[in-house]
Amino acid sequence: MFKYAVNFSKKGKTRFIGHLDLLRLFQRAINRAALPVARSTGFNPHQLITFALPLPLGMEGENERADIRAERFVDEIDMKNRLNRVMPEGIVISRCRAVSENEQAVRVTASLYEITFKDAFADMRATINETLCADELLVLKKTKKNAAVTNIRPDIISLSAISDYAVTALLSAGGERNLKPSLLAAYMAQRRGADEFDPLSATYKRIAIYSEVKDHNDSSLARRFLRL
Amino acid sequence: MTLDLRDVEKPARYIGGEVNMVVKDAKSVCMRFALCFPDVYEVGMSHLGLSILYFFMNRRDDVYCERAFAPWIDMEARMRESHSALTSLETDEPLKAFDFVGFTLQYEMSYTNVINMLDLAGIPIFSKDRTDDDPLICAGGPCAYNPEPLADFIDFFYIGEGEAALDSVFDGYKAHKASGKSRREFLTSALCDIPCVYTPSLYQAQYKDNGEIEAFFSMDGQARKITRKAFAPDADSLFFPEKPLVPLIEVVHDRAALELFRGCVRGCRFCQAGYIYRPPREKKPDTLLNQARAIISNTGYDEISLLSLSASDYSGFNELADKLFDDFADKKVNISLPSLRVDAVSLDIMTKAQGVRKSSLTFAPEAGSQRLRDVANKGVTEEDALNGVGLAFEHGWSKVKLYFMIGLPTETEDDVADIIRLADKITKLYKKKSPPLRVNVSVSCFVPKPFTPFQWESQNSADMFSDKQLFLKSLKRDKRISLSYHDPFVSVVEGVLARGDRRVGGTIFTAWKLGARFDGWSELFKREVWKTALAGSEEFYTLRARSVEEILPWDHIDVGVRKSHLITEREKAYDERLTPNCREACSMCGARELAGGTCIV
Repeated sequence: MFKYAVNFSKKGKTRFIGHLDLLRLFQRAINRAALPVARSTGFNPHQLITFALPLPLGMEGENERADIRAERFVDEIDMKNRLNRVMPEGIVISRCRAVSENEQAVRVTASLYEITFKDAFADMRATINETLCADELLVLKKTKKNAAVTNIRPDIISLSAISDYAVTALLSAGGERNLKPSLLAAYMAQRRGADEFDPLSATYKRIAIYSEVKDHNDSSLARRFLRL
Repeated sequence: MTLDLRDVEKPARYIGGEVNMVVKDAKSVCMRFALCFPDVYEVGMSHLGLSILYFFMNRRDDVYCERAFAPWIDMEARMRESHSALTSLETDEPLKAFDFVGFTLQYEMSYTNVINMLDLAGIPIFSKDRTDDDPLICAGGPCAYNPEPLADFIDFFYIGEGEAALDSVFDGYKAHKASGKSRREFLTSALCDIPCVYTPSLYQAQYKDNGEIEAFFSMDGQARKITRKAFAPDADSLFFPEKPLVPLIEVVHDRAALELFRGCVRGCRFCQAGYIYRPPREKKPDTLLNQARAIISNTGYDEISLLSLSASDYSGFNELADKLFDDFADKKVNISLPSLRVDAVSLDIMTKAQGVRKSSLTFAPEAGSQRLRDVANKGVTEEDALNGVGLAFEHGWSKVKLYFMIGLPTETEDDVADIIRLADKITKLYKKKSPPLRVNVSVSCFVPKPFTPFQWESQNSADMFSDKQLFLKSLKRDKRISLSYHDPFVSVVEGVLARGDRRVGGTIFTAWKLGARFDGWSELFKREVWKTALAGSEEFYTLRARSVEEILPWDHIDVGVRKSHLITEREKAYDERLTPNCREACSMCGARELAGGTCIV
C-alpha cells in the first residue's frame, strides 16, 4: 500500500459543507478520478481516507490535510491534477506527496487562524500586548449543558496583528487541548468594552494546522511546530 | 442571498455548486426557467424527475434551467427579516427575473410551500395580479392532473411527461418573446395550440346549490374543452441524464438512480400512478446497463438504485441485475433494490445485492383480507405473501415491513382485523431464536385520488380512521409486531386537496396566510390552522360519495384512460372481481390509443 499526504484548501461556499459530507465528497471525487484507492476489508469496505482535523462548519481552510491510501503507486502530480479536475468549485488540491507507510499518523496540536472583526480596534497592538502579557485570561466557556470559567491563556501560542481589525493567532487545536478562535475573539472584544459578543460578528479562517515536535528545546516557533 | 449562512441549519442547502451543475451565461440565453421543488433541498434533490427535467431543459442552448427549493423555516425567518428574495441556486438571482417559474407537484401536502415560495420570490401569489414584469408561473407532475385547487395561483399547467412537449412550450415562448406581445396574449393564444397545456384563467366553473359543479366552460368559448396529457411513446429512446447532479450534502436518497420503465402493468384500483402513467413502457436492458455505467463513472456514487413503480414487473429484471452485478462487483458499487415481489429468484438477487447485511424486507399486501385485496385488485394472495416471507426467513432475513391501508371501499371490521391476523401468521413462520424477529406494520389512511376507479368514493372521516387505528392496537398482542400509523387529520387535508375544485384555492391560501408550511412534515403540520382554513368543507370534499354522473373537477383533463373504464373497474371492485395485468390481457382502458409500450402487440 502507498500513502499520500494531500493538502487542500476549502473556501468560498464549500465552507458550508460539514466534515462527514466532506468525507463523502472526497470518496466520490476519488471514484470519479478513478484513483486506485485502497479499501478496508470486511463486509462493508470503505475507502482509506483520514482527515487530520475536522474544519468547523462555516470556516474556510487555506491548508487542510487528508491522508489517502492507494493500492498502487500513483504519480503525485498526476494524482493532484486528476483530483482537481473532478473537485467542486471551492476545493483545490495544492499538493499530493507520497509519504512512508511507516510514518506515524499525524497528530494535530495547533492551528493558525485569521480572525477578522467587523469593527476596527482603537489600538490593536495594545490589546494584543495585554492579552499576551496576562498570566491568566478567564473567559466564560459555554457548552450545551453548562458554562464554566476557563483560563484560555495557556492555549494561545502566538498572536499578532494584521491590521486594526484582523489578527492571526496560533492556538491549541486537536484532541488534547483545543481553543476555539471565537473564544479568543470574544475575550478581545470584551477588552475593547463590548458587553455581549456575537461570534458571528467576526469571521474566522484556518490558515494552517501544525503538529508540535516532541522534546524540542528550540524556542523558535517555526521549528517547534511542524506544518502539516 | 446575502445572508450569513453560518446562522442557519444545514447551510449547504442554499449554496448550489454541486458536481455536474449546469453553468451557462444567463445573459446570453433566451429563456430562463426556475425549476422549483416545493420542499426542502434534501427531499427535492432525491427526486429523479427533477433531475431529468433539469438536464432535459438544459440540453437546449437557448434555455437555462436553474433550481430553487423551499427554504427551511429558519431560513425563511432570516429572509423575511432581511427582505432577501428567493433566488436560484445556479446564479443566485431572484426568481422574479426569470421567464418561467415552474413547480413540480409531487404531493398535495406541498401546496402551501408553492404559495410561500412565490411570496418569498416577491411574485404576486394570485395569477390575476401578475403583470408583464412577472415570470410565467407553471406547474406539472402527478398532482397537476387535478389542477383545480391551484388554479388561482398557476398561470398554466403542463399535463404529462416533460420530454414529450416541453420543447413546443419553449419554441412558442421564443417566438412570443421576439414578437414583444403581452403575457396575456401568450397565455391566451400561443399556449392554446399545445394540447397538454391547461390555462385555468380561460375557464370558469358554475356550481349548483348543493355545491356540485353545474358546468365548466371556456369563458370566451374559444379555448379547447379537453387538455390531453403529453406522452412519450418510446421509453427506450427517452432522454436520460448520464451526468446527474451529485449533492454536496447528504440527501434523502443519496445514490444514483436508474429508471427501468414508465407506468405499471398492474391496475391496483387505489393507485393513481398506475392509471395516469399508462401505458407501461420499458427500457431495454442494454440501454439501462450503458446508462448505469455512465452515471456511476460521472458521479462517483457507490450505490445505484433501480427505480420504477413495481420493479419486479420489469421483464428483463434478472438479466439486468446479473449484468449489473458482474459489472459493478470490482468497482465496489452496491445495487439497491426497491421492494420486490418475493420468490426464490428475487431472493437470490436480493441476497447478492445485500451480501451479509440483511436489511428489512418490505411487503405491501395493502389490505389484510383476500376479499379486500380483490376489491383493490392487488394481485397478491395470502399464500404468495406467506411463502415469500417464509423463504426470506430461510435466507436469513429477520426484519419485515408490511404496508397496509385502512379505509378502502367496502372495508368491514373483519377486513381491518385481518391485518393483525396476517402479521400474526407471519410471526409464526419465524423459527429461529436469534436474531430477534421484528415485524413493522405500517398502516396508512386511504385517500381516494382522481383518475382511479375509487375517485367517486367516500373517504373515511378522521374519527373513523382513529377508531380503526385503536381497534388494531387493541388486537395486537405480539411484542415482536410494531404498529405505526399516519395522522388521520393529515389524510383529511390531503383528501380535500386531492379531489378539490377551484374553491379549495381559498382554503390553501388561508392556511398559508395563517402560517401553514411544510404540511407533509408531521412536526410542522399545523392542525388548528388547517381546521380554521377548511371551515367544515372537508365533509363536502372527502366524506361525500360522488355519483358517476357528477361533473368532477378534473373531467376536462384526459389521461388516456376512459372514464367508462374507471366505472367498469369500480363495479368489478364491488363484485370483488380481479382485472388481469396489462401483459396478461388488455382491459381496453383506452390507453392503447396512445400507442406505446405494452399496448403495442
